[in-house]
Amino acid sequence: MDPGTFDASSLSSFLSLGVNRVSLGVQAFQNELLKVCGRAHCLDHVRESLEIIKSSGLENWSLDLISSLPNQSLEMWEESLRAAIESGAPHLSVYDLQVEEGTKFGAWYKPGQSPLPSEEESAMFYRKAWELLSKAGYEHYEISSYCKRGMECKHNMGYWLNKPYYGFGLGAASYVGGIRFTRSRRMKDYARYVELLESERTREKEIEGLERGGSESENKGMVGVTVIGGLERGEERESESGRLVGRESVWEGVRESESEVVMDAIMLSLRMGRGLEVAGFRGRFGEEILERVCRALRPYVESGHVLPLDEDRRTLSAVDFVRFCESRMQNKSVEYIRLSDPDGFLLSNELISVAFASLSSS
Amino acid sequence: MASFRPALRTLRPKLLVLLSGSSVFGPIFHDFGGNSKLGGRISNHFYCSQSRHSSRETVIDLSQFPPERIRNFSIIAHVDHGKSTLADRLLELTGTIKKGLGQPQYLDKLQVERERGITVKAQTATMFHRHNLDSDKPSLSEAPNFLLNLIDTPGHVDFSYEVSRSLAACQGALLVVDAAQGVQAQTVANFYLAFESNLTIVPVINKIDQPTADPDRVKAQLKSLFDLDPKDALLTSAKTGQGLEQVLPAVIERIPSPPGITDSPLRMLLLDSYYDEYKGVICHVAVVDGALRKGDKIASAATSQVFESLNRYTYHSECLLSFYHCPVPCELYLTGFKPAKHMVFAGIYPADGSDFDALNHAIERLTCNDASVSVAKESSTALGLGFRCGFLGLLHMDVFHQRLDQEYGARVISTTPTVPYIFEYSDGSKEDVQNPAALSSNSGKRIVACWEPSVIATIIIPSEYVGPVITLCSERRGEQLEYSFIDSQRAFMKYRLPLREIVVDFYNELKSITSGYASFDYEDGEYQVSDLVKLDILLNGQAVDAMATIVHKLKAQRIGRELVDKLKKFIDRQMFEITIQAAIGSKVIARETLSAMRKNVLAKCYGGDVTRKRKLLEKQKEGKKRMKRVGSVDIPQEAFHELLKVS
Repeated sequence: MDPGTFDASSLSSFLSLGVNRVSLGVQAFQNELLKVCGRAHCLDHVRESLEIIKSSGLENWSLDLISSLPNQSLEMWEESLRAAIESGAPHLSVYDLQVEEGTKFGAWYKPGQSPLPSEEESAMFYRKAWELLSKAGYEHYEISSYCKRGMECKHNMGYWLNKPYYGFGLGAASYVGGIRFTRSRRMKDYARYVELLESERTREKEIEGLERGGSESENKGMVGVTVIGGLERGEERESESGRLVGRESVWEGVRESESEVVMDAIMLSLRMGRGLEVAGFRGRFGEEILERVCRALRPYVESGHVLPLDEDRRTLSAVDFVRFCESRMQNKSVEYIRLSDPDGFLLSNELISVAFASLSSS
Repeated sequence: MASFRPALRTLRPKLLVLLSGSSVFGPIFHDFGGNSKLGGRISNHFYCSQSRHSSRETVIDLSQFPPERIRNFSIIAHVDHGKSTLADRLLELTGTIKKGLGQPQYLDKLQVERERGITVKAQTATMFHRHNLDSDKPSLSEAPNFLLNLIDTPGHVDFSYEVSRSLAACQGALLVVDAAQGVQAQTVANFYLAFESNLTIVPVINKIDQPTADPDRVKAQLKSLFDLDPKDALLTSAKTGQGLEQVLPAVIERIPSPPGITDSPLRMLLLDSYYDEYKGVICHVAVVDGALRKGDKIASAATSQVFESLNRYTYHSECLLSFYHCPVPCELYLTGFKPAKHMVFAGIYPADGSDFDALNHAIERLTCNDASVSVAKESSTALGLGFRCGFLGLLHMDVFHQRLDQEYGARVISTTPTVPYIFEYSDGSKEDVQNPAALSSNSGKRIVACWEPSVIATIIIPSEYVGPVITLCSERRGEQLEYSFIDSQRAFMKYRLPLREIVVDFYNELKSITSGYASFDYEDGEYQVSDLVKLDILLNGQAVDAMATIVHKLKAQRIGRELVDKLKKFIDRQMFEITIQAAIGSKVIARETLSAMRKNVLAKCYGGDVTRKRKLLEKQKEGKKRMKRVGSVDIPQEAFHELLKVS
């Protein structure tokens, strides 16, 4: 929710509906920065909404901050961080600004060039956040997420632990049975889908379609499911809204290939403080792949960007890691492999792509 | 003009195929695919798919065409004076191609030719035209039909070899000159090539439709430079069609018919060869004497290989690559043409180290079609196994790269172009050095002297640019040999320049300071003594052999600095700091440090985003793979390419 868009009564209405967590899109504690981001709220709104949340008694809430904004100084960033800490937020999502092509920012700004900070300054922002927030008792459990003990975001963890989920809404993404699929982007098709979802037959068809689509493509490739809320392609049916003809799919999904699943596992686990869990990884993907990844990351264990941990999550030395690799990962000393904080996290793309590269080399 | 002396008509060695067989003279034919074919006269009918009767494949009986009714001619000119357009027009006029059908510049076949708007390979086409030699006979439909073989040639100085080869098959040439630009350097060069081959020259002043056209001035130039009678000059505009009707009659009337003796042993000239997936190496030849029939066995005079003519119009062999690489002169029957002289060398390595075989394959095929490239195997610690190729010039090299990519999908890394040096050691021995890396910096032998190749450059420019050009040439360590005026507006200069100095961007620089008006041609000069050093590039203290160059001592500092700066710019930041150094021997003359990457992270990764982010990282991984790893440093191909541009 964005500051300034709700009041105490609307919040309590949401809570009464069963909502148990709120994420507040603060972004910054400086009015000039808020303007530059094109935010509709100002500092007063921020303070107000924080008050509302705290008085509502909600215990599980989060606050967003963005660094590397145009014209943002280190002082401003520190100020925002301290204000966030002071608010007592149980969870903080701290994002580095990503300028995407095709957006307004993409047209106006070039990464690394004024008024955006340089790569060095950006890195400093990240380090500063880590420094202040760790001192304040927050756990850096994911690249962009900090939380007080036990307050990890379960929703996001679902993504990061690669758990299946359903998404609803136009263009919403779901991940079920190893297939990632998105719903139709068109309201008409979506409405039809919802209508037919209410019929028993449709639910069955959807599951069947998922199963069928899944087994039809053993390898990767687009699975264009021909089910439209119960109608096969070419099939026709009468409904309240008129005659329906099975045409396109209401969702299109991709069954991930094994190599994609491996890459997802590496990428998502290394982005977490928890790291890659060795036993589980070996069990799921096999020893050869584990060996390749370990070999690829070895130079970075030596440089301190990658940390091997034992079962008590104590950091092992580079020598220990070498021994582990040489024993063909049998000596079970290393239980977790994680990226160091903040150095490893800061260069996570690089380290993850190194790991990816090791998968396909002969 | 004192500088232009009559050409020497010398006999020079030439590659010929001596054959046994019987005796029919056959011309060169095309099919729609652009392949030339031979035709037999008596025994076989054959196909000429470009007949004026416009059926796709018409059978022509060549017995109708005795040598007297055949003309072989070429079109030669300076680049962009309108050769190819003129060729197109003639083809249209004779109905050989339909107007509007196919692309303009029909004869330029290669993609690289179409893209750059230049002719790289000479192409041939056959036309038919009726003409009355006596003006008595009025009716054109009864006039005898002539068979005209036209060869279009490249204009660029790098490809003069192709020109020579084409001219050897002709008896005459249309010398095309732009009516506004007048005689330019290639005009002169090509004229001499034709003159030395004893060809009849038909001057054609083209582009007369232009407002700045001055045909009279050009006629005067033709007279003063080449002693060509102004009355003989044809005035044309290939664009508007004006004057074109005179061209073919002039060809028929002025250019002699081929002197081939039909009842004599077969002699042919190899014009072109290429590799066909199914048939193997295909050669295109011009039969000079005698005839070729299906089943005839052919012996190559140069290599003593025996081939068999498998059908009436093509003949096959295992591989003709060796043909051009052993220029054994055989008996001299005709004036020869200059063998290819390699001016520029560069290392070519597969972009992906594991693709050496694919690159080998591609180069073999391509050099079959472009025999003027020399190829030798080479290896580099940085880049692995590769080749050192010799080219006729920078454009030639560029075109070769482009064709490798477009026609064979070969992605390559090229090293800095070099020229062949000669190093002399204290023990009196001399060594030919093409690859700078081969010259070890601190070897036991002491270097006593270095020799570098030079060229004699002919530069023609409008008078107002003389100053800047003199400056440019002296910057490039040139020695002025001649300086005079062609007419009131243009200056003529001859310079001796080190080949190394013109090899990268001299021509471009020259064009740019003269607003494009300069024309430039060069020929081999002699080797001259020079003060040369080997410039090494080190990354994190380790020398990268593929980046080493040999430079003149005076320029070492500047070039070293430029190379180091370029590398700093084009090597991506890595996880660790990189020191970049340029050094001569153990002395570092330039240095830069590339600081380590500070940040490379994706902030968010949720839900449906997962696929997208993973794909992003996969792309990053692919990017890594395309780099060359030298020691602990990943170098993008782009960095190598950028180094090539430092002169």
